[in-house]
Amino acid sequence: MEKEQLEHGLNQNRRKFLSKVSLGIGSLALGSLLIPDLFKGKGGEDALMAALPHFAPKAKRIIYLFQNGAPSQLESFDYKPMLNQQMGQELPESIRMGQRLTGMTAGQSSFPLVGSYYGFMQYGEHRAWISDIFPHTAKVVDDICIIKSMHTEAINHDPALTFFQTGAQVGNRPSMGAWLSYGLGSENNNLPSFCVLLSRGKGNGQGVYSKLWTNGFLDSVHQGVQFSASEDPVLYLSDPKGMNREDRRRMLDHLSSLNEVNYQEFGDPEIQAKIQQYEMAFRMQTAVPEVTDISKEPDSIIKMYGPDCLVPGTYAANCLLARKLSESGVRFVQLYHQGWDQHGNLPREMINQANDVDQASAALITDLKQRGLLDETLVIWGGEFGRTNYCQGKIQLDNYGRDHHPRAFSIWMAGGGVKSGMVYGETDEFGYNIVENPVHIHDFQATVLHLMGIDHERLTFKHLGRRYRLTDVHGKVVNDILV
Amino acid sequence: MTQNRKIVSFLENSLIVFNGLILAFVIGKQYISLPPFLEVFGRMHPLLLHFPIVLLVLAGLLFWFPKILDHNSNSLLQILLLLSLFFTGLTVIAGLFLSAEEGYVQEDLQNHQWTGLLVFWLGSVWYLAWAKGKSILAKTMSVSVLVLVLVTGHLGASLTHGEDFLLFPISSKVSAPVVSLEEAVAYDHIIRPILEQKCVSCHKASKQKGDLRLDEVRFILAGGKNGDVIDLENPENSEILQRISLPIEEEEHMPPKGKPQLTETEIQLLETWILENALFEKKVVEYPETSPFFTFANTLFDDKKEEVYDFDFASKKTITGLNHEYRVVQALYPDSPALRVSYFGKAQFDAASLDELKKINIQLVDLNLQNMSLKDEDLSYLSHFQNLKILNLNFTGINGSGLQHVQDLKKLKSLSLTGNNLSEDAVNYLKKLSHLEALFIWNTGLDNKTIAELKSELPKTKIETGYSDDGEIYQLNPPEIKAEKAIFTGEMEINLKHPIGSVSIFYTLDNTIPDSSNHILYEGPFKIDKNITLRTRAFADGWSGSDEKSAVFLKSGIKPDEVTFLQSPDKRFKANGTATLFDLEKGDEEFSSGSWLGFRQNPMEIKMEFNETRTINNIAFSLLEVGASYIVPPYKIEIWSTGKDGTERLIQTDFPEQPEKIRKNQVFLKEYPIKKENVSAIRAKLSPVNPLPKWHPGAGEKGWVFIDEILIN
Repeated sequence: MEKEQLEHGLNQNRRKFLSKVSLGIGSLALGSLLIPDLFKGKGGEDALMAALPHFAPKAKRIIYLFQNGAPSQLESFDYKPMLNQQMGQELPESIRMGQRLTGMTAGQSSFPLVGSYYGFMQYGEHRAWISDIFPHTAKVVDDICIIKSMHTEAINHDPALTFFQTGAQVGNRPSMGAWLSYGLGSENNNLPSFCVLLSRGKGNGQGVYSKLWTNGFLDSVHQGVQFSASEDPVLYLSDPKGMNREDRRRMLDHLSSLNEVNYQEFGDPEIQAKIQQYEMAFRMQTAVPEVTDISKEPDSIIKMYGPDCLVPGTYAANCLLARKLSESGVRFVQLYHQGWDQHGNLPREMINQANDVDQASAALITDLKQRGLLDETLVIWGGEFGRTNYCQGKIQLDNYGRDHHPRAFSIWMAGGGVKSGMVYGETDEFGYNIVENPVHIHDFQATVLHLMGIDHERLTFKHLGRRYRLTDVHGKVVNDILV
Repeated sequence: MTQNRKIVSFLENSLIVFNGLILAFVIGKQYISLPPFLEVFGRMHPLLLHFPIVLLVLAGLLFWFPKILDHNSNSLLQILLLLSLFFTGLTVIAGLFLSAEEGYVQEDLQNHQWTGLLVFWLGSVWYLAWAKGKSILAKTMSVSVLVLVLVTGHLGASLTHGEDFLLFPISSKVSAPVVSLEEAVAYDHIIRPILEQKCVSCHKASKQKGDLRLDEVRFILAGGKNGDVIDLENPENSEILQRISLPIEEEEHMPPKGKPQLTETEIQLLETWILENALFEKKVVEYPETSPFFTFANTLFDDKKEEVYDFDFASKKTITGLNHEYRVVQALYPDSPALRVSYFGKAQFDAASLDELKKINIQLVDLNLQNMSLKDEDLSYLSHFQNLKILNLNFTGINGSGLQHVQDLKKLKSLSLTGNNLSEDAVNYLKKLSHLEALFIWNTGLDNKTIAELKSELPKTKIETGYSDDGEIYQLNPPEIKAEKAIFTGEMEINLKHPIGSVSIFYTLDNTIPDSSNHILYEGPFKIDKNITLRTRAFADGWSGSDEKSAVFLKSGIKPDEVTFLQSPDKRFKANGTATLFDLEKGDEEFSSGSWLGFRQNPMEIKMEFNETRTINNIAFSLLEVGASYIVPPYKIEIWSTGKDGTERLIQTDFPEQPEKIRKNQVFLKEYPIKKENVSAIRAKLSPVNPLPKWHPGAGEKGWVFIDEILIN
């Protein structure tokens, strides 16, 4: 007991003392040389933040339109007429080269090639091929950069999603948005720096779960904040009935003076963090309704995104909300649209999925562009892997399915320092293997960080004795697609 | 002493022999053919040459400052001089042998050879003059020799390491082209500088190694002794490409080992340019953006795009002082003095706070005021920010009459004005902003004529007018129905809402579809006091009418004292048994939610008894239709009532209308007026459809009846 009293009196205990001393002496010499401000601020994370971004960023914010379930590249952006010509013929072994398959088609005795049910046309200055079910995306093709040569190692949804978002197929690493929140902080201190919006399509869906927007081993302030479609977009943010804003203010003032007393006594920085978080929540109480209110949007905006944008919880509504959040300084807005897992019934399901997302995705590009924000906002559209060029299940002229295919798939990016009107990478005529400019998930992640002004090799966090980064030990910036 | 004498005499003899040999070599060079072992000796030239340099410098030192050593230095000086001349001779002979090999630039080689020979000859004279005591001659020679050593050394270095090897690091390194990307010509501004830096020193008029010149287009096309350097027919076979891509150890590799090498970018530029047909005249911007040459060439101009800010940094204290929750002031990136300021939180915004930014008026380059409420006179604050480059005034409520204050911001490149209703004044001010690179005027109320005028006044500005309504008619989405609960007592208020303000909301209460001929216009909340089916749609100009939205509202009524199922519900959908039917909780459209009772094998048959006789006006059943799950309206509804006398009479038989296709899922009401007094019990029987009709996917099987509430009034 005496010991505790002594520690209390000194505002110090053994653990705190040791951690301070070891950190202090160790970093004293080197740290003061490398980071001149080290001893002016709190050190540690603050010092890291002060050195970020590493160079002039091209993009200030990201909106990631994740198409969860993996949309087929062969019915969207990777036009392969050869598959229509050889419809029903066997996938040559020279193309497949013994690649592993999922348990869903591994047992299939034959792998008949199947071509796109939908037609394709060429659009834009660079005559990019786009399928007929994405007519609005086709209209903005000169503003986007289609990458046809993405590839991943994962072959099932969870690992592939987790890989895309966190840089590892398993485990609880921080999501890309959390890394950016950690690296760059929030632009607007009245809103979270990482927001998550979910919507569900009519197609065969795969779940999304909070692991995908986790802060992992980073501080929990970097976790993605999920906005729900209900009247309370952020849970537990509104005051209970009967409490007005002045009462809340007075309550917080008293609470913070109590916390201050505690802080004087114990000196625990967590207490200060708590005070600040209460204050942020208080500011969010006005900032969130301001952002989520779409009643003042002009009619033309509603027509642009489609009337669905007025129905909370739809993809279109989320796109509109994403623009509003992003324009209000939210660093990373992550959308997930579920229902892209067309193992069967593809011709019927995929057009519904495309209808859900096509108009609003294109509207988002146009909307950012007309406000002068597209140059500083990076928009990404894509799923976690591609789909096979052969049919899963029974092949019919007007009905087929496609299994998971990690070796080649298409995504698109727009704005924020990415070349516009570009088609990058190429697959073979079977749409199975990449023949030109492959882009690995880690390359993609490195490029995204690069656009935000971050050297992906230098944004690290020490955890369990080693430094982690989003790109692990890989990743090469895809310079070819940068402006 | 004798030992010293022996050495001196050996060295003096060597001096005579070397002089003779060298003279013979110089005169008869072209007649001599060397045996291989002498070639080896020749190649020792770069090794040997260090000895004479050091020894001559030492000898010079001792010659000029004899007192460096305490005692008589004469004999030491003699040995030193002779030794240095001995090695000079060896070096010169080796050099002469080496020069007989091919591969050296004749002009440079000649200079180096003759200065080298002079070192040896004048050195010999120096020794003789010193030995004979002719001090003036000796002094002259010593100076000449030392200077010549320097010159020879430098020429030799140029020979092996390339011209300007010594001064390269301080001479200008022009790697970025001097013109802008738009003007750059592929050969003139990208390829030629590379050739000039890395190739021309050996392939020019004065020095045509391999009979090749790369200093002018016609010589490049003419090729060298091995033929074409660039093969225009098959660019990939061009010799220059093969040479530069060989490993550096290969003899054929170019530039030769030891010479300044091509960087990776330079190789990529050369390669892509040649593979894309080596077009000498083509401008860089004329290449397609996807062309690899364009990609690499484009990166050379990157530095030029990056604005360099050379003004002073604002103090940390100032920046911190200006930052708060609703105003973020931060550097563009850590090492930049340039600042970006963003305002957030409309409610907290005060335009006067712009005045505080005067403290950073030099550093402010990017100001984001979107969605803040501004008056046009507030724009006068902006005139202080002389370095402002990006200004965002979207949706600030200005009409632009204050844009005169922006006119003097000569660095302004991007101006966003979307969402503001711009006045004529605004347009006139905008016309003067010819230095703008981008102007955003979507949703500013300007008509096409004005926009066309602006575009012609500002030919260099990219004017973004954004989305324009192309007249496509979209369907509205249905209104929202807001009511406190689905089953009410007494009366209840109902609100209808739509997110678009300009719509008209039509509704009906008689279970008909609202359309142009049949509707009530919603003008505000209304009250209901009986069971109703509300159906509503939204209409607006420029849109097609919405789908309908419907809801059933039930007035709670008399609860029977005893309720018994005469036939039991399906065991999967038992809910809370009979209590479910009178719990005043409406089920949603989810049949498995646990608030619905389901019947399939048996009809739903129920007896409701009252302890005291009642007057019953009507009875209503709240039912569900989910066609895809075989849940359809009952085939037949029968109702019996028992009067005071205890006899039961059938009072109602109905065959509800059956769907002809799978319809939208719905909760619907079947209501029957009874108008009976003194009722002591009621029995109701709802029989499922059996079998389902032919059009249904489950044709031939039994249908379901789902019920969640019975209301007796």
